[in-house]
Amino acid sequence: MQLKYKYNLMIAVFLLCTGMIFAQQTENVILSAIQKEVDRNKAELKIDKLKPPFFISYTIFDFKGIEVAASLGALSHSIEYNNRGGKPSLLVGDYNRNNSNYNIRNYVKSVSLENDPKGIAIAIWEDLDKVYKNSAEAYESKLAAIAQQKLEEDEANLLDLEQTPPITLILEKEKVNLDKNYWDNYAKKASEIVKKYPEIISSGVNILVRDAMIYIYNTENTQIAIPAPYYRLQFSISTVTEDGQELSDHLYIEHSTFEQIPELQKFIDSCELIIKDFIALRNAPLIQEAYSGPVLFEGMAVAEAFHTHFFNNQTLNARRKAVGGYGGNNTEMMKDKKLISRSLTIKSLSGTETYKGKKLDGYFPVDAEGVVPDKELLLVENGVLRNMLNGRTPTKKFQHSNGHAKFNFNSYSVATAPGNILFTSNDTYSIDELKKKLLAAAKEEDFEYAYIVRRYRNNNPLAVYKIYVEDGREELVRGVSLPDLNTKSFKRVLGASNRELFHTACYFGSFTTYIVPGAFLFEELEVTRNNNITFKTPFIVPKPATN
Amino acid sequence: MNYFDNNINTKYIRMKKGILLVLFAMFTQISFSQDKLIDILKNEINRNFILLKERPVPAYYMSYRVQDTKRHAITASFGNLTYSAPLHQRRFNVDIRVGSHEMDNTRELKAGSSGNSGNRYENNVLSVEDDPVAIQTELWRNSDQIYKDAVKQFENVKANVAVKVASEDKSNDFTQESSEKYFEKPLQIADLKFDASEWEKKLKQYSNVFSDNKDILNCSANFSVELVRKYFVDTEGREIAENAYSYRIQITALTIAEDGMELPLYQSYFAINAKDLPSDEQIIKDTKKLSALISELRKAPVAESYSGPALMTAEAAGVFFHEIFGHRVEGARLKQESDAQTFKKKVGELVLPKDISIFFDPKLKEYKNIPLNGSYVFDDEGIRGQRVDVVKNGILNRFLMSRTPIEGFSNSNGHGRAMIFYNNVTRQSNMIIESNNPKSDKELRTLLIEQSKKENKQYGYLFDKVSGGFTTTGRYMPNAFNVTPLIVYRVYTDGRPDELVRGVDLVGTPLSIFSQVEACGNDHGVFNGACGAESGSLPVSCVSPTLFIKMIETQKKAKSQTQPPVLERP
Repeated sequence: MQLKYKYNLMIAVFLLCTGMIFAQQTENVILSAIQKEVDRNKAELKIDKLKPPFFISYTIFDFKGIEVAASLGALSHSIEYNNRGGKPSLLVGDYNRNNSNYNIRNYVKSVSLENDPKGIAIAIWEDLDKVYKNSAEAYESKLAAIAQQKLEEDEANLLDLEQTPPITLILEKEKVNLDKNYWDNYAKKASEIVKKYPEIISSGVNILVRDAMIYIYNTENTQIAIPAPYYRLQFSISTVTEDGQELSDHLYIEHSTFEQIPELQKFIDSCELIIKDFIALRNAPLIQEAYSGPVLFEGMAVAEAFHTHFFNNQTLNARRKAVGGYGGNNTEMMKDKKLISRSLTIKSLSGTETYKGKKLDGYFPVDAEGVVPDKELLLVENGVLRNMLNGRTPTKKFQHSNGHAKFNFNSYSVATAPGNILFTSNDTYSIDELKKKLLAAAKEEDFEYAYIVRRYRNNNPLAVYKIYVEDGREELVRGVSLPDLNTKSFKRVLGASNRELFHTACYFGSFTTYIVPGAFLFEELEVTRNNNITFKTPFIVPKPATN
Repeated sequence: MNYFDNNINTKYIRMKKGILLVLFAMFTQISFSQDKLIDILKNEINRNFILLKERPVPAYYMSYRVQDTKRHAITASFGNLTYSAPLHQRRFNVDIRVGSHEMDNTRELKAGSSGNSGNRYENNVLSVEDDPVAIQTELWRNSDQIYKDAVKQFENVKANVAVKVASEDKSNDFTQESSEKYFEKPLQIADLKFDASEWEKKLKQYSNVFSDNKDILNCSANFSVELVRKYFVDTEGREIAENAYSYRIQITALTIAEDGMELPLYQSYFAINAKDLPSDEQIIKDTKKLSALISELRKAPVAESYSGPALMTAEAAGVFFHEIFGHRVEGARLKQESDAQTFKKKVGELVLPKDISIFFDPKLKEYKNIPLNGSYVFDDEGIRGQRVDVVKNGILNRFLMSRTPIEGFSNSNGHGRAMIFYNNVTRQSNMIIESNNPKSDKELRTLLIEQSKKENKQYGYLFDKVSGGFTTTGRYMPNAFNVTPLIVYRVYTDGRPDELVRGVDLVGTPLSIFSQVEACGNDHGVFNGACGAESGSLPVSCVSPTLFIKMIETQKKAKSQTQPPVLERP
C-alpha cells in the first residue's frame, strides 16, 4: 500500500514536470476564456513606436465565502458572498530586459461571476489595456534610467525574468463546508463561554471560510487551475488590569480542510485555556528589573519567533534591487557564510504534502508564476546560508526560481513567501534538560532567575515567566519587551528541544506551516519593561451583568 | 394639513382621537414586547448616566443611536452578473456631553488650538440579535471611552475659550427641546417582497443593452433594496424607532473620447415602493437612449471656457441649488468662526429673485408624485423633522437647525443628521424650489436666445444633466462652487439644432450667481442622491424647476491623458 502510493505520486510528479494534464480532461470555461483573450491581446496589443507585450499572465481568483462574527453568544455579522477578481501581469521588452522591477502597479478587477466567456473576456481586455499602456511607458522609462546609471557587471547581466518551462496543472475543486447555519451556531456557542469571565471586557469569535479556485494562464502556455480552500477560526479577548494596562490576546486556527478544524467543544476548551492564562496574566505583577541573560522559548512562541525573524522580515527571501536603487535584500551577500548557529538547519518543504504522516497546509503544487516548488530545498545548512526563497526574478546570488512566488489572498498580489519550513537543531535535549541548562546559565551569570517565553506574536511577548534558579518555581509577569531579539539572536543558542512542533498560519495571504523544535534556548536576550504601555483609569460604570 | 388648525370639525377630532388610541395601544405593545432593543438601550443608558452625571465633570446629556441595516445589492455588467449579496449589520453611536447647555465639550476650538476639534469617526458594531448581554457590554465599553474623551475635550474647550478672543456668536452649545416617543412596527426585508433572482435577471437584461455598443468601456446596472431601522434613546426621555426603506436602480456607462476625456453617463431611479419603479420596458428604453447618447458625446466637440446666459434643466438645477445654496443655510455651519457665513446676517433680506421660494421638508415622501430620498420622521438627534421655509418670495427667512443653536435661532427644526459613524451636524433634507412666476420651456428658450443675442453670442448653453458638485464655505479659501455637468448643449441663436458638447465644469461664487437667476420653468425635476459633508454621506433630495440664469461661467474640465483602448472590446 505504501509502495503503491509512492509509485502513484512519482507518476504524478513526472507528469506535472513534463507539463501534461493529469486531472480533469473536460474543458475549463474560465481558463479557456482567459487563454483566448490573453492570446488576442498578445497578438494585437501594440501602440505605435512602443514595443508590444512579450509576456502576459492573467490570474482569476474565484471564491465563495462565509464570514461570521459573534460575541457573548450573539451574532454581530454573518454573510455569504461570491467574488471573482482578475489580476493581470504584462511585460514589455524581453526576458533580458523588461518593465518588471520598475514602477509596477497592482490592479485587481471584478470579473463576471458567470462562466460566460464574453463577460470574462471584457474584464481581461479592460485590465490588459491599462496595464499595457503603463508597462510600455515604464519600459521606456526604465531603459532611460538604466542608461543614466553605471551598473555593476553582474547586475547588468542579470535577466529580468527567468524563462521556465510551461506547465499544465488542472485540479478539481475541493469540498468546503459552507453551511452558514453550522458556522453561525459554532461562533455563537464558542463566544458564549466568555460570559463566565467578568474580567474580560471585550471578546469575539470570527470565522472565515473560503471555497476558492485560482486560474492562471500565461503566454508561455502555462495553464493552472488549483483549489485554495481556507478555514480560519479566531478567538479574541481583551481586558484591563487593576493598574490600567490594556491586554489583548488571540487564538487563531487556520487550515485547509474541514477535518483539521476542531469540533466545537474542542475549540471551546482551547478558548477556555487561553482565557485562564489570560486572567492569570491580568493578575500577574509588572516586570520591575531589567535582565540580559538566557531565555527559553517554548511551544508556539518558538514558531512565532522563527516566523518573525526569518520570514516576516523577509530575511530568507531573495529580493532584486529595483532600478531606482531601493529594495533588495543584502542577506544574499552572506551566501555560503555562517548566518546563524552551526547547530541549526532550515529547509523549505513547499513541494511536500506530508511530513511524518502529518498533512502540511503550506504545500502548494505550483506557484503563481507557474513554477513547481522543490520538495526539499536547503536554505540554511548547519548555520550557513545556502539558498533563499525566490520567484522568477533573478537576483545576483540566486538566479533561478524555486517556486515561491505565492498568491496572496489578502492583497490579491503575488510575492515571495514560504510554504512549509522545517527548522531543526543538531543540539537537542528534552525539555527538562533545557530548563536545567537555562537555570545553569542564569546561575553562571549570577541571576536569581531566568525567563521562559511561552507566547509571542509580532515582536510582542504575550506570556513570559520568571523561573527561579533556587527552586525552579515559575512566576508569570507582564509588561515585558524583548528589544534585541532579532535574526542575529539565533547565532548564540544553547540548544533546542528534541520534540517537533507544527504550526500553521496564513501569514502572507496563503498557508505557511512551520515545523520547529518545541523549545529553543537563547544564550542571551535582553528582557525589559515595555515603555509603550499607557495605563488607563478604571471603568467608571461597572460592567453589565453577563447572566 | 395643519394639525394645529382650530377650525377642524368635530368628526375629524373624534377620528383623530380614535387613531391616537389605536396608535397608543400599538406603540405600547411594540415598546414592551416587539422592540426589545429599545428597552436594552434604555436600560444601559440609564445605568451609565446615573453614575456619569455624578462625576466631578458631570455628563449632562447622553444619547445612543443604533442603525440596523438590511440590504441586498446586485450589479451586472454587459449582461453578466458581477455581484449579488445580502447584508445585515448594526452600527451604533454614543454621544455624551459634559459641561452644560451653555458650554460643553462640542464647542468648536478656535484656530491654533492643540486640542482635537474634528468630528470623530467610529465604526462600532453591535450584535444583530437583540441580546441584552452582548449589546449592553458593547455600549458600556464605548460609553466609558466617549465620556473620558468628552471630559478631556471639555478641558481643551475651557482652555481655548480662556486664551482666544470671544466668539461672535454668543449662543449656547446645545438647545433645550421637548422630548417625544415614537415607534414604528419593525419590518423585515421579506415584507418588501423582493426576489433577488428576479432582479439578477433584470439587471443582466438592462446591462446587456450596452453589449451592442463598442464605444462603451465599462458599464453597470446596479440595484439595491435597503431597509434601515433607526433607534434613538437619550437621557431627556426620547425613545424612537423609525423605518426607512427604498429601492434604487442605477445604470452607468463610461466611454473615452479620442482626446482621452473619460465620459460617464448614468440614469438612476429611486422609489419608496417597488410598484413605483419604472417598468422593464421603460428602463431598457432609457438605457438604449443613454447608450446612443454616450456615443454621440464621444464625438462631440470640446467646449471652451464661457461666460454668458444658460438654461439649467430641473435635475441639474437641483444639484446647483443644493451646492450653492443649501450648504449655506445649514445653521451649525454659521456658528463656526472658520466659516464664511454667507447668509448669517441676511435674514429678512432679498437673496434670490422675488418669485422664488425655497423650503426644506423631511416629512414629504413625495412632491408632485416625485418620490423623495431625503425623508424622515425624526432626525438623528431625536427631533421631529419640520418644514422650514428658508426663503419666501426671495427673502431669507430661516435656517436649517440642529440642536446646535445660533444667535436668533435657539431651537432645532429637525435637521441634525449624521451617518452612524459620525456625530450630528446640521444637514439638508428634501429641498423644494418653487416659483410663483413659472415660464414654459418655450419661454425659457426664448429668454436664453434673446439674452445671447443681446450679448452678441452665437449660442447660449443648456445644462441638461450633472453628476454632482462641491462647494467650499470656509474663509481661508475662495468661497466657490463647482458643478460637474455630464450633458451640455449649445443652443444657437440662429435656429440651428442644439449641439451636444463636452468638457466643461460650471463654476462661480454663490452671491454673484444668485443675482443672475432670472426665471424658473413650470416643470419640476428631482436630484435624489447622497450628500457628503462633515457628518458623512446622507440621502438628500433637491426638487427644482428649470432655471434661466443670465450669466454663468464655465471652465475646462480636468481630463485623463489616457488613449482609448487599443483593441476593440470583446
